[in-house]
Amino acid sequence: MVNWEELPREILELIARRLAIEDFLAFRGVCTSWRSTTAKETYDTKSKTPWLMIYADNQRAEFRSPTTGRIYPMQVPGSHVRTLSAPGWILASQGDRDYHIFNPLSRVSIELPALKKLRRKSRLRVQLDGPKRLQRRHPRINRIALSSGPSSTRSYVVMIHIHQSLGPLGFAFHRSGDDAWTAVSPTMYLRRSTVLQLIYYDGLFVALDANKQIMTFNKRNHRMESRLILGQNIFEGHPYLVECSGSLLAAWTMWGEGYGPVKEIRVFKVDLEKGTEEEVKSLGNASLFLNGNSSFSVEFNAESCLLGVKPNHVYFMDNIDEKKKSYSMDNGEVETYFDAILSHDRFYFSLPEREDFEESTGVGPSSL
Amino acid sequence: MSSSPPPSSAAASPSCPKKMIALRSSDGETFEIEEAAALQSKTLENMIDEDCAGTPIPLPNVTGKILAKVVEFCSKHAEPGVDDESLRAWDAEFVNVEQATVFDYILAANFLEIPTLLNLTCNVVADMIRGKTPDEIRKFFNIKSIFSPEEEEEVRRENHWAFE
Repeated sequence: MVNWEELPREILELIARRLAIEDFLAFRGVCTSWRSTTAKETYDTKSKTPWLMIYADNQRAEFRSPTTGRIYPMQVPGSHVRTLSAPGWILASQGDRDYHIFNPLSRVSIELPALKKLRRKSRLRVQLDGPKRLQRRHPRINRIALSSGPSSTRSYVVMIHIHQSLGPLGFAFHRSGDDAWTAVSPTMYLRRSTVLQLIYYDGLFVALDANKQIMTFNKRNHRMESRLILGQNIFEGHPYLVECSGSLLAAWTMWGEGYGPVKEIRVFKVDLEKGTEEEVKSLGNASLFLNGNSSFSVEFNAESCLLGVKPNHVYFMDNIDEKKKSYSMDNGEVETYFDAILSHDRFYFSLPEREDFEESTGVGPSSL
Repeated sequence: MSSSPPPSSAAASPSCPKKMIALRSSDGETFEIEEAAALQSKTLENMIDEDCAGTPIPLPNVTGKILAKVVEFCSKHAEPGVDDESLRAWDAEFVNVEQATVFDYILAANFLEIPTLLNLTCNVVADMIRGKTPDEIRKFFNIKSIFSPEEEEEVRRENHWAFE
């Protein structure tokens, strides 16, 4: 008598590894034994082909699986949506208010404190105080990073960079369970500048500003510290910070003459300790996916099932023609990866982290 | 039947090239397989005697019907001079069988540690799962799921995207 439920665990793991994201999620919903083999420890979220978030408006987002072409619509708590580096989570907001960290697959939604709730008095807070000033200046989250995926069992930190109508305001952070933001005091020698990238890497929040300055957040004195200045020779490109195979990379998408489509992508490995950068000519068996707010990398190994994705490539959206393209680090070829022009084209990692949330009545995550 | 200690063979090269190994299935059938083919199985590799006389190796986990096919698979994969494309086509035909047979192949490949067969059969099962909802998967494999109410709720939440 054949009983598929009783396949040995190691075989179920071998099968689950070969499945694309949506099939993997269906696999998890079949029965208890199949579900238990797909616990967090046995899979790596970066081993499967990412979905594309192709549309987000009116509290709905659509995700497309590149491998099957199928489109999955989902409700989201907001009309403006950005991806987060915590796999499977997005930032959703209603205009510039009501920010939520949201997981479309598990539907867990976590409300972030309102921007005007800053715990410490600082120049930052003084500028946001007062309803009139607030309304005129329209503070909004420009960049956001999380120390880890939201979870009810361990704390995490959310760091943001705030913009207002007159320009950059500063950084603030919030620990899970806090009901307010804590301002990061400005650092004397760092000129306040638009922050282009903010990520969490190797235990540190790392930011890159429009002056090509890389700074990290010092947890002890709550200030940003400069580490190095990037890309002295690169003038016509847009930078992305991304972790890849344990290293911190700065990838520059360089547009052609007169702001034409992206012609080249140059990648640099950043050493925060030494304050140096070194150009990287190959990503090896990894590839990068570049998103405005949070980029990520994937690795090709025995456990991965990256259909339709090639190693040593950079996948990005070209802002000029709004197409999703791939750039080969081998030969510099640019190819179209997904050619429909749609709004909110973003690469999205949709495998949720395996932390389960308990429904609670107090402050904390709630299900949508 | 007593067996001598397993040979400490570092490389999987046959001690007697054309030597035939005897295998006995759970239901008492005996099969002969060339040593070169038998070495496809890590389990068998560990059990083969160093001297050239051998009593049939008992395989209590594999029936005669399946063992016959496994022997066929290993023999084909040990054949010299077969090009990749025809081997792939042969493999596709080999697994073009009933679901229940694929199941038996998987278990045999796992028990006998035959990486090529395990890889092939897992791919087949993955193909059977692709594109199906949890419900469809259950129907296909005749699985009666019994989730706890909490798990049921979790599953519903995780798979809502397939139905919205």
